Amino acid sequence: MMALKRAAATAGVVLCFGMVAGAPAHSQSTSAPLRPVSDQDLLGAQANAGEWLTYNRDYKSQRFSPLAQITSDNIKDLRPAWAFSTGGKLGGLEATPLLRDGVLYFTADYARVFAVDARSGTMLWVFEPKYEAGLDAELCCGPINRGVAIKDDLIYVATLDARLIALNRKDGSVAWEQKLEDWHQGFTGTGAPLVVGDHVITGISGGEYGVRAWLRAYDAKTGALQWNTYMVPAPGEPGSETWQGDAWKTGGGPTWLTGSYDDETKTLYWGTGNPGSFNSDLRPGDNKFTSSLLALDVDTGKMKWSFQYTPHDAWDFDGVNTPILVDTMMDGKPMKLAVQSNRNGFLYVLDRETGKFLYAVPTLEGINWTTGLDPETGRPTVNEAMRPHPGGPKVENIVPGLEGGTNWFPMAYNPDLNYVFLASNTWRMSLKAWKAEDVKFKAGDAYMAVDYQMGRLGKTIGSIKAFDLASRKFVWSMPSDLPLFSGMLATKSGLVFTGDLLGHFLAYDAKSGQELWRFQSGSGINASPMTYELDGVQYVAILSGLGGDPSFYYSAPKGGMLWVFALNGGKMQEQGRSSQQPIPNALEDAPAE
Amino acid sequence: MMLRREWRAWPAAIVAVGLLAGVAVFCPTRFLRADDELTDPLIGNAPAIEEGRMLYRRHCFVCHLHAGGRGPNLFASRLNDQQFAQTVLNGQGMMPAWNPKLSMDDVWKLRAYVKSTGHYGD
Repeated sequence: MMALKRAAATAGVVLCFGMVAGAPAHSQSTSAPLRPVSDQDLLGAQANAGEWLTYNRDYKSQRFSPLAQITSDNIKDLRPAWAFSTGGKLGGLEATPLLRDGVLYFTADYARVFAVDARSGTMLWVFEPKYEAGLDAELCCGPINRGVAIKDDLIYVATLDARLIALNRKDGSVAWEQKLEDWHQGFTGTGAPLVVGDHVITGISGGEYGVRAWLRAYDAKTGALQWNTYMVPAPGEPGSETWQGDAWKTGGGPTWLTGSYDDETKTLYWGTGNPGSFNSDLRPGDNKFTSSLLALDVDTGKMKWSFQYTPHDAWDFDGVNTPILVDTMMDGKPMKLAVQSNRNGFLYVLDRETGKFLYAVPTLEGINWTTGLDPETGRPTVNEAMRPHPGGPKVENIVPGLEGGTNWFPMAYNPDLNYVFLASNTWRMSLKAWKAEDVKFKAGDAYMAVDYQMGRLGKTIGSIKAFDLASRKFVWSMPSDLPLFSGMLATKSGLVFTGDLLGHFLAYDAKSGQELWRFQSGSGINASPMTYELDGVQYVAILSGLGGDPSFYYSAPKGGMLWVFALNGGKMQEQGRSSQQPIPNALEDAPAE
Repeated sequence: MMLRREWRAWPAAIVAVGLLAGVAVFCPTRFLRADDELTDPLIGNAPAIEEGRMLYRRHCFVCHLHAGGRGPNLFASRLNDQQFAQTVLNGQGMMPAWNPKLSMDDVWKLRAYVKSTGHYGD
């Protein structure tokens, strides 16, 4: 009877809270103690070989793991250790899991947050945000989410209805919640937050809806707003001279991917997306600070410098892609670089201390929206024949198409080789700009004001590439018939992992590009791999589940699976269940008579 | 045990029957049968077709493109008017539910547009 009362009381609390925030379900505690994640833990994430504490592994976003158990010699023995189904509506998986204290934290579609025992694949808890009806019609690119952040005892997630939620690591219950914006106005949350000190830094999506985007910091413990920096300046603010009339109010510049951070200078490096609408003649000027990389003070949000990849963008060339921060020699001098592969088809190398353009190289052949970049400033000379005008003819065969180049999928960097690994797609698009009188902004409605169509240029669209920062040349390239949408993982042992839309999880030799291993995951891969170590065993993990933007271009079976691999499947799986592993507590939750 | 549960179910059954009777008496529209499907009253209506084209480019094009994309080709849809309306308003699979963002009138304009041509655009 007491058990029945407890269950009823629990159900009541869960139900009431679920009406507002969403609710943890199937909660069970972990067997290992949960150590708070400190500032030092996050600053030292790169040296922490066994764990993965932030979206891009470390603040420099290198996605380089010191782990070296899996090598080119033994990778033939890499086999599944376990798999975990995320279930739900199978709306696409794009996240990178985090690993702390033997627990994987990751998101599936609709920003559902999972905590899973990393040894066994046993679910510890799941948090499922509750959404109002009608939200799906506000999502340009599916119900996707790219992951969580961790600090102290909390997990942070941005939701599709533009909330920032902090969850207790032990059970997935809500610690605090902050409304970011009104989702009815076209704002959505899809990116993984970044935690630096007591700041939870989050961007916002909505570039296809004419939002005026921002970057914000919230207090990690309380959720209180600390600073807000708009990506599009209001009249009178620096950069406002690059806008005319009221176009800034719907100027876009969404901040939908996670940025990087340099602790030496307390500087955030964050990319911005396209200006609104796509119909560029209707917003004359360079439209700062859209399609740019920004350097901002982490404590105030104040802008230190900006570099605009694509001024007056007409092609949806978001510049959000995460820059990798690299400290290396260049022309005989030590340099602090920001390296970013862009949707506009170029790989940029900037001096991250000043924002100065150093050089850029094309990541694909046939780029025709520009005739070239100024070697001093990096400013593109636009091929105006490739810019559609309101009511004008359809412009055909623009290269690359609006998906890029390199879209959101993160790069990786191997400091031993000084190689950057990236995926780039070679394809085309047509654009036809609407007549000016047909373009009417209505908050919450799509505000693209162009018709577009992507198309192939040849049999091969995708390429996985390695770029040598020393020689400034691509050293290898591996083709893929379909476009690529998966990020990169580099390891100390000289491996590169990624995935493709056919569902293959792939491993390459970092130096030669030779394919070493592949595994069919059952659905398209549009997420990014990670690796961790437990009990002396190195694991590699990838989420598989076609959805979001990539499902425009391929109709593979949908899916929702976290695959985890180890050499020979891992010792724990061979030995069976350990007494240290958590036991599902479903029986305890069953109502008593 | 089983008998006690059945006995306890009687009040609920009485309430349910009462509710259904109330719905039958007071509901302003009768229950639809298979042979009286909803039909689009705006088929062939030129102003409605033009409004439907504008709705299509604003809301549908991003997924359905000129003649199918991530979503199916609506210009070659085999759905009848009622099935089309139900799919748009309630969603199906990857298709989001457009109720309440689109009204019934909007849906009929969209339907009139996609029935009027073979594809979107030039």
